[in-house]
Amino acid sequence: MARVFLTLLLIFFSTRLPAFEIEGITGVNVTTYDEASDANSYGLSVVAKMNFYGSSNDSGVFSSFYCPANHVLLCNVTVGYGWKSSGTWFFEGGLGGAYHAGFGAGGVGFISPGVRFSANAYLSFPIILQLGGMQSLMWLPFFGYTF
Amino acid sequence: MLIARASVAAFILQIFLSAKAFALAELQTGILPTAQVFMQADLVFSSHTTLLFGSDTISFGPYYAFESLSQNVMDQTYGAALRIGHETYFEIDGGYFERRFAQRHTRLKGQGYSLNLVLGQHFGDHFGLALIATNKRIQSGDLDARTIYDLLPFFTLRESF
Repeated sequence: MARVFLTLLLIFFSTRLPAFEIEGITGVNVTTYDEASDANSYGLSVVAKMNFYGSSNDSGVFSSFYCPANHVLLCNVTVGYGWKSSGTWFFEGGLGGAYHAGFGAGGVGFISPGVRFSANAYLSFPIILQLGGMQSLMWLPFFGYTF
Repeated sequence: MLIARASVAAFILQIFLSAKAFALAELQTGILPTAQVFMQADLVFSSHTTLLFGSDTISFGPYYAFESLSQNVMDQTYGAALRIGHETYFEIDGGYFERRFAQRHTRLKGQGYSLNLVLGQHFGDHFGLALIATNKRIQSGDLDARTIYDLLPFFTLRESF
């Protein structure tokens, strides 16, 4: 496991210093009932994706995780290769593999239109399809930042 | 009834005409749409809309929120908003809140209040981001009394006129 992790680190940082980007969305919900406290619910959902691309409009390795509210300790982890176009309005796409401790392994593909507000801040709308493992289709806004 | 409608229309027209008297008149919607097919299909759409009048320092106006939280649950809030700042802003908004729950043979409604604290940042003339902390309270009606807290990011679209 450590060897796989080290190999991935080497791939990320070997040939060039990438333009690191982080994007995603998170939400919190707490509901408490006056007369049914056993129905109280506490939820935290996190979806985050990191891009280790050559620049903000290049290609490279990405990694993401998705931790839904009711399975927050069981995250779906994805590693893959993505491509991103340049400009104020851009497209990004990628393919990779995913693993979830409860649902197993699967393949992931995503396509994402986006808009860049400034040199650093952007918003994208990925449509993420996973076959096998978590077997899901998601569409949601990602708030992103280029470092 | 006709007179009442005419006076409401006249009032709305008056608001729009008087908008020119303010340094700032701005229509803004914060949107958060998500769709997910995982075990079941869920489509969530939340929107917070304000029509604000005032200056770059402080503005005030009506507020409406529409949220479709699942195929069965719809939230609506009718109220007012107060905003401090413009490009980067702090806003407090809220008002009368109602939640409707509907299934084939069931129609339930609960009422209460909703209060939001908003931190926002505009990027250019039309786009922006907002972080909205919400407190909703269902106090009466068919649904069990409850207190709800949400913390969610929204992207915003605005138009000044």
